[in-house]
Amino acid sequence: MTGVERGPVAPGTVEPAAAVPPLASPFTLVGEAAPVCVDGVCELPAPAPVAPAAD
Amino acid sequence: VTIDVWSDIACPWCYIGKRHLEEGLASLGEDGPAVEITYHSFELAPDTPVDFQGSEVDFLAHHKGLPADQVQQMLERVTGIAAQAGLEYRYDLLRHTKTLKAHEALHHALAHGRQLELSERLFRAYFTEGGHVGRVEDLVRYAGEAGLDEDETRAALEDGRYAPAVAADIAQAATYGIQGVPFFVVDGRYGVSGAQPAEVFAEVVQRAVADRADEVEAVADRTDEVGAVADRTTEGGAR
Repeated sequence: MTGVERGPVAPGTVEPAAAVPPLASPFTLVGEAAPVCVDGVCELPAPAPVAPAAD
Repeated sequence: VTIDVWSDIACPWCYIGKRHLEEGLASLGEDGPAVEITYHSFELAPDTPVDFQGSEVDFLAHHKGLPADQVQQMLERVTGIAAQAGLEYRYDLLRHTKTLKAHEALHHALAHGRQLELSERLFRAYFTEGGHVGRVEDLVRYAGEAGLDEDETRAALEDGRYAPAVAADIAQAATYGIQGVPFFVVDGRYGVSGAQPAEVFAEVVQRAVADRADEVEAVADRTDEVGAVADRTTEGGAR
């Protein structure tokens, strides 16, 4: 995906949430699917689907 | 190069991701770029009580409705991957807790130049030592071990002066669309989601360095062009 360039994230200078419209990821994402924790649950990513072998 | 990391002390992939990041940076050698790492707050399970009574399996099974055997398998897999990263996870000792005060402590540490030390100390306490990272007194002790003044840390945690900074981090994660952690932002440009392998971190840092070099070169080219135009203008005026 293509990201939109943003300036560096400076600690302590972020704006309140209400002042910033929600965004899809504004970054150029790098890397394959990797394990993350979401909503308290920390699981490995689902394996990529394997294409059936050609006969 | 700046690296901003959204992370939670109670996140097993965050500690593993931290190790992978460190390995990736180390692989760039002594001539690697200067890197400034800042940890930002993300509360993975805000509904956890500070003094949760029960194991991690209990929490995930009862609060998240996951089958206990599935949770057990999940924790075993995480423990195995942590071991590959050189980390010892002791879920049998782990004390599940609310991490909001730990995040305040990390902001206090950031303000005093000891954030990386405290982050490492809290991860180790939580995942390896069965330490409590939700109570002020425990956090004060860990902060002292990370080189912070204990009285100052206690005062900061008791008056909640860093609570707005924690809330701002969490809000910013939401505006960035970050739903899971760890999430790394390299030079404000590249996003790296999850406990990626060390080589991914090395690659993205090198890419950020190359981008900076390209930008410097582009500025130099433009400066040369402006200079050449100015020279021609001066020559024309002199004739």
